[in-house]
Amino acid sequence: MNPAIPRKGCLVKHVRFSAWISSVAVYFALGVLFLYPMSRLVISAFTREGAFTFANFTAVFANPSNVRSLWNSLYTGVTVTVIATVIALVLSWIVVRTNVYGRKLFQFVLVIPFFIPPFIMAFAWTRLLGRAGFVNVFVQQLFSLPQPPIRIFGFVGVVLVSVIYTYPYAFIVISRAMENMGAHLEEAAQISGASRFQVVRDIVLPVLLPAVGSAAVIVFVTTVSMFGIPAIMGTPGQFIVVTTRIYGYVGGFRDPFGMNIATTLAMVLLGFALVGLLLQNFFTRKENFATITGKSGHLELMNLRKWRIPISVAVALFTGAVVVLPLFAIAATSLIRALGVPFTLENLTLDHFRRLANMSIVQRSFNNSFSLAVFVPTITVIGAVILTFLKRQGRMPGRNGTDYIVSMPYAVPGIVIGVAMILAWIRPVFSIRVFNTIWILYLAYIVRFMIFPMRTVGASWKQLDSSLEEAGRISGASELRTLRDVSIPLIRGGIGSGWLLVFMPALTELTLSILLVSPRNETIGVTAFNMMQEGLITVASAYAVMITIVVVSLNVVFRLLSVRRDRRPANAPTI
Amino acid sequence: MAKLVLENVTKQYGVFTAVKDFSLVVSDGEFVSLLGPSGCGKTTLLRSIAGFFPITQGRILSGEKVISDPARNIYLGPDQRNLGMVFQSYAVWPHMSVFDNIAYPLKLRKLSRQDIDTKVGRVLSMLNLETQAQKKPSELSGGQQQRTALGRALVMEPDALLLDEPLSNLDAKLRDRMRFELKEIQRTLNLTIVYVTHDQDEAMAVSDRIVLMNQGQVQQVASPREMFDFPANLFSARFVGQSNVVDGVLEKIDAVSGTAYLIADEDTTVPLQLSERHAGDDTDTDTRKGQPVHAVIRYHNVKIADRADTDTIEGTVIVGTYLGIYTQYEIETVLGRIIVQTDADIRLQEQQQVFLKLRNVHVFPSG
Ligand SMILES: Nc1ncnc2c1ncn2[C@@H]1O[C@H](COP(=O)(O)OP(=O)(O)O)[C@@H](O)[C@H]1O
Ligand SMILES: [Mg+2]
Repeated sequence: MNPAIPRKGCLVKHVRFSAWISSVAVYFALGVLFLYPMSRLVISAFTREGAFTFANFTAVFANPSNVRSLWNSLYTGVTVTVIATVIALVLSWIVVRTNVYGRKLFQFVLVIPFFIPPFIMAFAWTRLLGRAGFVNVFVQQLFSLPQPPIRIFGFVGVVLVSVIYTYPYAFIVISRAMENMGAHLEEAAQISGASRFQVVRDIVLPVLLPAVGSAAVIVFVTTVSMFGIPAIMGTPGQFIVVTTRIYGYVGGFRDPFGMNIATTLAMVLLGFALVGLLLQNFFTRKENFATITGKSGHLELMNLRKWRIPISVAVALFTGAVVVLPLFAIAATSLIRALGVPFTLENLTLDHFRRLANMSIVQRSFNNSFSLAVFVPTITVIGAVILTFLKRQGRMPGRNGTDYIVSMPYAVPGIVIGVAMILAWIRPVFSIRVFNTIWILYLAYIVRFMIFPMRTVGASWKQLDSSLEEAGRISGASELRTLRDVSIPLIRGGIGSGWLLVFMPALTELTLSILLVSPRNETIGVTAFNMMQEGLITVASAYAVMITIVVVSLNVVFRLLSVRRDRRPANAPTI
Repeated sequence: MAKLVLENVTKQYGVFTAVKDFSLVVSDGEFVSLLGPSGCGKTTLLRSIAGFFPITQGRILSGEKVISDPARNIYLGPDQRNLGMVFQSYAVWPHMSVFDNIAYPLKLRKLSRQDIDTKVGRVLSMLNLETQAQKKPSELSGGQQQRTALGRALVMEPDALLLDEPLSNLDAKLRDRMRFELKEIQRTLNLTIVYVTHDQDEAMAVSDRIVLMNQGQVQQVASPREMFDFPANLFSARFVGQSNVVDGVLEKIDAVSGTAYLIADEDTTVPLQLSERHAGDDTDTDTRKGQPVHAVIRYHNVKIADRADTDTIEGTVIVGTYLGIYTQYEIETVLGRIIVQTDADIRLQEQQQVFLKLRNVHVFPSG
């Protein structure tokens, strides 16, 4: 009846074959990139000289320094989580629900610490509160004290800077939830007879719990995974956490089984993060916490009346303390002729910047980091489009597994990925040598950041009604042609934001790079970190200022670009 | 239940006046709808009664109690007013079960466990929610969430019930049923209800009286039938029911036959049979001579005549649409396109010549 049938048969065969080929390619790539290094990590933790053993775990827990570092990580993580979450709750409420002055401005300014690389933030705080920091020197001179009064290095310093780095994330999550909650839920309680206090206790807090809970978990996982901040604020005060301890083992503690111990510590750290991920799952599951159904755009702003000015001033002071003050400290340090000379006009100089510009290592690291920051997002975005495309076609066997593989590193602290990468590539594999080259950084970054474009591309593709693609096919376009002409233009929002989400952290990455870097292949983060460690304070400040300017202005540019893009009509109908 | 009194209520947002000089008495046990296009101030008015913000001017009383009076600095918060409210978005608390949602107002009033169980149980059975009591809102259908919201408002035995477009998020079938149930509950419990909607059919179906609003001001207050048969102004005539609106100048009004003659163009006058009220109270025909007017003719008040007569106009059928209980025709006349609804058994062909009688016409001065 239909002459096309026999042809169709051979078409199906052809398609099956190409699906088979692409599946093999995809699984091979994911295997090499993701599964192989992670399995090396597990093997290293459970073996010694090729034999299965728990000796590494007993060794880790037999050494009090290791146990203390684990304890320090936990303790710091919990403290930071509590403080950052409370700060985020209070700030969200003020900015979203009251008539505080400058709401829109605060909404933007309060998240700035999120854009500044954490190791720069930490360094800036040492310039304020360190032994020769501005605040310490000022107070010491004011009261003629024999010693600098403030001791920042150690637990307090780590907590301080970690809170400043992590609260913006919680602020973003919680304030968005508050906006979505609208006012109707509260009004319904008020008209039922609830007082203001009862509304907060019975309605607002319970409804926000999932958002607050998952924000808190992310803060915790971020804090215990962080390397730059504890390395700069903790190590000088002999306050060692798991990440800095692992760095110590990898970097040179003389222990024949140093690498095994490092991987075992990494496994424990991974355990913390996985517990966090499970908690996160719990908080975002619908069965546990009903999502907000009655979404309403309307928000009644609470009139602060006589508190309006004091609260506005308090928020402004907070912003000044966490954003302006540290940046001012490094800017000032970068301009002063030498540490300790008074701030007069003739003592100001641009010499440090000039010196910086002439250092070949600085030029090299800029080149390296910019290449990484351009190519890694590009590669991961292309990978995400391919993976999602294959998955959407529904012909790749085990396609849901790819999601799990790719999202694995999301929960894995950077330092753990770094260790896994070392184990995987330290010896040439099939005589391919990537260790001690720049390529190890590419591999590690791809593994680390692949999840971001997977998320954004997947999300925007999901919103795309499949009839749009079907219309392309029925008009006569092949699958690849439809991909090019219909799907990709329509998901460009997800592609763009995925690219940016990788670009920004890749540019100033430190944790992975510090473990995997080799001479001539330095990155911006590593170079800056080393300068700070070597005590080249003025030059390091100049470098930090430069990086901050680059990062902030790139953020502003991208923000402006994406605002323009958002003015275009939406791709998919929103309900 | 008690009556609600609004005296000259004005609400401004900054310089923008959302509700202007609004007065209304809702009697005990009465079902009053606030009807009007989106943005006309219905929600603002309802929320003023609920007490989510102070009003700018005027006075609001619930029963004998003054609940808002800016002149005397009186403003009771929403938690002090003992009013029930159902929100358009339902606002069912997602972290509480159906039972807990409904029990919450009673808990705040410190009722005993036993009383709470009885009262909530009664409400649950009235709303057919007994089997859902332990479910969380996310496991409920839209209709069930809606009932939960209604139950929460009813359980506290409020002095009056305020509803803001409560049915607009339901599908058409469910909406019809809920209208019916709501009306029945209102009669059984003798509730005083203020009901906000932009849907005229809904307002017609449930209300004892309708308050028609536009741009923050009252246009007409009347029973549904009265509002449909005798719109007070052009806005009312247009908003309620489906009407042709024709512009022209009055030539004369024949008070005896109740016919107005409208100059349609240079050499054509068109006879319009006025609705009783317009014909009856209009003795002074001279002053209205030469007055520009809008004539409003309901679709169903255009009749197809067998032949030309002194009170008919001629027209050509353009297109007909069969709509089940009636057929709707578009007819080209000297007055422009006129839409007619006829019994389904009258069949007209396209391009057919017909004669129309325009009856029950309302004329409102224009310009
Ligand atoms: N909080 C507010 N601030 C300023 N203007 C408002 C506010 N709420 C409502 N309005 C304005 O008041 C008018 C009436 O709004 P509303 O009462 O919500 O209308 P309706 O419920 O009839 O659709 C609208 O023009 C709206 O834009
Ligand atoms: Mg409204």
